[in-house]
Amino acid sequence: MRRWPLLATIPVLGLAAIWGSAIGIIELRHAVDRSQDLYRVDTVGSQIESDLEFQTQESRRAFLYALAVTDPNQQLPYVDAAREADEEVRGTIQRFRQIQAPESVTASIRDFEQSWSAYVQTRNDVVAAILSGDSKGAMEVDQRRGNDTFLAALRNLHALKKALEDHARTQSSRVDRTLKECIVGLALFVAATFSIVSALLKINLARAVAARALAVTNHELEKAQEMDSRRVAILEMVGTHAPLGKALASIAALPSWNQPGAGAAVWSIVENTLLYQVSSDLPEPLTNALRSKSFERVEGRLNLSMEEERKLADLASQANLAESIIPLQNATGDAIGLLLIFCPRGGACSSSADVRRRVSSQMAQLAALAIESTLLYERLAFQAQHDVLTGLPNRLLFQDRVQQAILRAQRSRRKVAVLWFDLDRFKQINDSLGHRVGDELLCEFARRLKSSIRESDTAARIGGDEFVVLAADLDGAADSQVVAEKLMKHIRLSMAISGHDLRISASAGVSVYPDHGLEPSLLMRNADLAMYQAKRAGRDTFQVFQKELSDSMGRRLEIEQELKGAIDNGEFHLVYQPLIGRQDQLIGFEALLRWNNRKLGSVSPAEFIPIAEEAGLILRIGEWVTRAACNDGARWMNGEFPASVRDVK
Amino acid sequence: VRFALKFSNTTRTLALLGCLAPSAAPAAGEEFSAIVHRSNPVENLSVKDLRAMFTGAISHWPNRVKIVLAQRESGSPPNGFLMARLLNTSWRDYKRSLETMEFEGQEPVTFRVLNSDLAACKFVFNVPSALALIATSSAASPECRDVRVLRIDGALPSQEGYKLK
Repeated sequence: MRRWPLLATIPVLGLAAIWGSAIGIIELRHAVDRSQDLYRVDTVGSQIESDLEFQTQESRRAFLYALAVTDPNQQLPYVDAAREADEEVRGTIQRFRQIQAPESVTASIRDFEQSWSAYVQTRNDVVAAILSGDSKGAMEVDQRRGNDTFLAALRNLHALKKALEDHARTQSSRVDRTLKECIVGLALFVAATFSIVSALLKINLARAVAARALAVTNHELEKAQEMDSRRVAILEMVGTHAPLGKALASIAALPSWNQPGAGAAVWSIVENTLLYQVSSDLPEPLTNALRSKSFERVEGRLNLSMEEERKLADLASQANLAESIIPLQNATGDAIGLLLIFCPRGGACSSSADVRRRVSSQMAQLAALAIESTLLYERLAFQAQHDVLTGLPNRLLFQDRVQQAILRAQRSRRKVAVLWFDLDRFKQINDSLGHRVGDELLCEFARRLKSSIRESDTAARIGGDEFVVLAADLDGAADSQVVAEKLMKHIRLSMAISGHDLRISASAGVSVYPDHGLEPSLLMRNADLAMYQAKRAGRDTFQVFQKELSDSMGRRLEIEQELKGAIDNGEFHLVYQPLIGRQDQLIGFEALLRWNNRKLGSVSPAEFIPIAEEAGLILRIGEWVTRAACNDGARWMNGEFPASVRDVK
Repeated sequence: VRFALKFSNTTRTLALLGCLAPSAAPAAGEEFSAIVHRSNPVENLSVKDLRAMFTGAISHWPNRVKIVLAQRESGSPPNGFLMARLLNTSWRDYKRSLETMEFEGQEPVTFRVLNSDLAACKFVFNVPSALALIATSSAASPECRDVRVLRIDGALPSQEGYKLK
């Protein structure tokens, strides 16, 4: 709600309220003052005026009574009464003066007082005459002056009364007008105040609504932050390759964290193995049912059967839970698991549908990520330890298996054999029939190896056409030969590959722990040496390692290994033997290959050329020699003879 | 007191009546006061002047205002003292002498008979030219506070040498 228009009106309304209240209060004060004046001057004044009129009449009447009798003893009470009435008149006049009447009224009372004093003076004279027995004279004086002065006093009294009435009328109209202005001011004040209060109430209401919304938002933000932290923790589990079950348990616990009573179950397929995790907050019957559920793959997706889904829905309903089934898929859309979320009916898994959807979506994403990451990690781990082409363990894994087998053999005092196979003339097959046929041949060879060994044994591919087999838990060294013979027999069988009926053989070397070495690397090296011995023995056979062959074969293997990098490392060079004719003339040069290896030093061609020939390196070396000799010859033809040649020349 | 004593026939007649026995005798030792209006300029009278005023021999105050006598009724102590001690006559003779004076064409003495000292006080209060004789004991009453008691031969009542007792 936009509150600034309301906020902007409050100062205006406040000013209006202040102005209205000020006007109302001022006018009310005026009205009160005028009402008080009206009461004091007019009400009290009228009462006083009435008293005056009565008292003057009383005075006059008593005086006339005195005139009516002749006995002074009877006249005196009337005279006293007249005088008392006169005193009351004077007291009343003083009382009238105290009401602080306006000048228009006080002028009238002043006139009355003067006229009354004149009357009293005359009356005293008449009284004196009466009491003196001069009734006739008294009557004459009264007729001549007393009556007139008394009537004058009465007229002034009536004038006073009229002045009071005028004043009352004026003041009443003023009071009316002032009260109306007061009512207008107060009405404005009340209206403005009401508007302010209304605006403040609206603002407070809006503020309360905003505060509630903020509280909800904060709560949801805290939930989201907590959700993020839990998500990060799960991602850390995934990133650190924690056990998948632990990550799935954390994912399954998310709904119960979000709302007590909620729960989830997660199924995953890793290596065709079904794993599950169930939130502990779910009722036990439902948990038991979930653990015993079977799933089926329908069109590549993991699904509950209709019957299972119905039973599950019934159990959830009995527990007053609503269920949501979310299939888990990897990036390519393959089914990798299933997520079931249960929420208490009548509520929600979260304070809002957005958060609920977000939680469900994040749970599904996390579960899919965890499962896919696990799958990927296991695939990578597999690839790191296996040969991609054949699926057999690679050198690394094989060495580890050998190490494990050695450890077991140490405890059991048994033998471990390493068999090193190298396909005979594989290069020819590869070159003639193509790499695809060569690859298929390698795969078939691997299958035959794997199918020919025990489950506890290991077959591995460690090079292009080199395979090794680990035979553990052998009773004696002779068992290794039995294994070798068995494998050689299986290998010799013909293979139908891409329309080619191929018959292949392999040479094998065998080394046995602990007879031929205590370390995996030594065992493999000795098996390799023995394999070379078998090659030299005519191929398609196997040889058991012999210690006396170790040194020579070791030198040979070392030379072969170094030869592989000799051309690239520029270790070869040529020397030229001049050819002299019969007439003692120079007829040519004989190029002689020399190899100076940084590790082996200068190696004789008589030693390394046969090895190069056996290893198939001689063609590349010959090419290099031809190219180098031609280049040198061309330079010589251009006169660029080296010093030694010039000397000969 | 400076005013002219006017001896008239009435005065003489009253003097002749002095041998008459008083109508009522005042109690022994009782004092009487002569009171006048506060506006009256006279403050002191001699017994002789007082007697002349009551007998009509002096009829006006020095300010030319006619004296109005306020007499107590017959049988009252002030009337008894006035008749017996001051005028030496009786009430009947006193009135007769006044009637005679009027019959003979003299200026009549104005007097009014009042039934009490308090009434006499009120009368004097209302009539500026009045003169009354009342018991001194009554002169202290509230009704008499607005009149003035005259010195008689220079003495106020209760003072030594006061003669109206």
